[in-house]
Amino acid sequence: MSHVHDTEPVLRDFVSEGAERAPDWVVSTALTEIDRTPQRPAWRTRLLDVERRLGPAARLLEIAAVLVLVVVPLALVRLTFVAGPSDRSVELGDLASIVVWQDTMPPSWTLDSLITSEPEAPFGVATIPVRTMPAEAFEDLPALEGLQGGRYTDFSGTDAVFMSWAVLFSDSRQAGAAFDAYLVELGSAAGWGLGAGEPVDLGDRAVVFTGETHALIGNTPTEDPVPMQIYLWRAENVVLATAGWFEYDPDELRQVAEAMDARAP
Amino acid sequence: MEPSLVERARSGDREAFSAIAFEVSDGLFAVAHRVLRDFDAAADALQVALVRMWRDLPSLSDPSRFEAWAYRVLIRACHDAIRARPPAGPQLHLLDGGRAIVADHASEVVEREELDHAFRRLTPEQRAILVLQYYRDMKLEAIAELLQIPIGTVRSRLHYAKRALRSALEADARPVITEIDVR
Repeated sequence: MSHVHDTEPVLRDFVSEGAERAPDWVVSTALTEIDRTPQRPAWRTRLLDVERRLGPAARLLEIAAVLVLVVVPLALVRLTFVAGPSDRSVELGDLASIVVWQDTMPPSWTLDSLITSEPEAPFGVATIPVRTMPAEAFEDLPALEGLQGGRYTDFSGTDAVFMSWAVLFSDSRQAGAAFDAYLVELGSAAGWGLGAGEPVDLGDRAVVFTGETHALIGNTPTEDPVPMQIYLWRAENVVLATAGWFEYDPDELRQVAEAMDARAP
Repeated sequence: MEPSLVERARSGDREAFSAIAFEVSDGLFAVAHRVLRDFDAAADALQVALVRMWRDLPSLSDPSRFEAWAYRVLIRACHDAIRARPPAGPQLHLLDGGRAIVADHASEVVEREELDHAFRRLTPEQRAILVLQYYRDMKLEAIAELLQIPIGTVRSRLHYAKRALRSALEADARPVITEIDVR
């Protein structure tokens, strides 16, 4: 259909349309405001800029400080006084340290986006891989019962794109049911079309799919199939995945999956 | 932009900054209008950007790079404007000159609506890259330098942004058009 072939000029026209001149009053009003505004010393602007850029890292440092000051002593107390069986259950707050982030990504990757979802609206991340049905229909599946939330990040590599994803359930049985539903999404022709996949040694149950797909990162399909590989696995009550598209390095992707698995309890 | 003028403004000369503001405002406003797709919001963003430029100008170490820096300040103001506003719902747009919508123009109108809706769902960063590439005809390397982000990030943001807009166009090509009442 010519409609599809002609998209580039249509997009160019659409994005390019707009006003060419600023209303005079805008500049005049700004200049009036400037009369009342002192300039900031250079050092102060640069310091604020550094703080702005370090925003996520600063938060991570705060979290690390809380862990050291509160969680570690509590854990030690628990180890000392509670001699029960070990509990590997993942909690929502753990996902930030399991899913790949700037401090755990390979050096050649650049973080592009982060999506999180929490108990009050848990589906945003869970439906990202869904291709076989509308997201709303997937949300109604019994397999999604017990969903607590999730975390998703995607990255640019040199000639590839990557994603890291995890969704949390109340218990491992519910996570197992969801894992089966995601296997269908990845394998079926109506989904990612990646076939049966191969078992792999990650978490409690894992499959790696390699092939070509129209299912690109995010939820918009590609016009042409692209090569990709995705690891999908379950570790206790969490379902995890990491994937690479285009010219990804399979060894690197495998290492990323193993590192994610090692960070999961 | 004359570096000596920037140097004077950087040293607190308000007249020099006023001359700079009038010189750069059309170009900045054009970009803001295309990123925000809202005249009033673009005017507000330009105003905010000009005040921030004045305030932070002493931190610009190389006056010859003023223009790229100014665009960065503007795009950050656009980013703040988008983040501050609630997600846009469906919007109604009048055609230029108030021309009537007739059957021949119906698909064009629906296509624009779909594109507009898809564009408003893009992140501020994706919008900015699209505008810099399509409207300013900037190369990816130049966009990366202007926005101070890696070129891989520019490439992927552009990729996803175009994909989203193309999807909107393809959705528009489906029979849903016939459901629009264009009487």
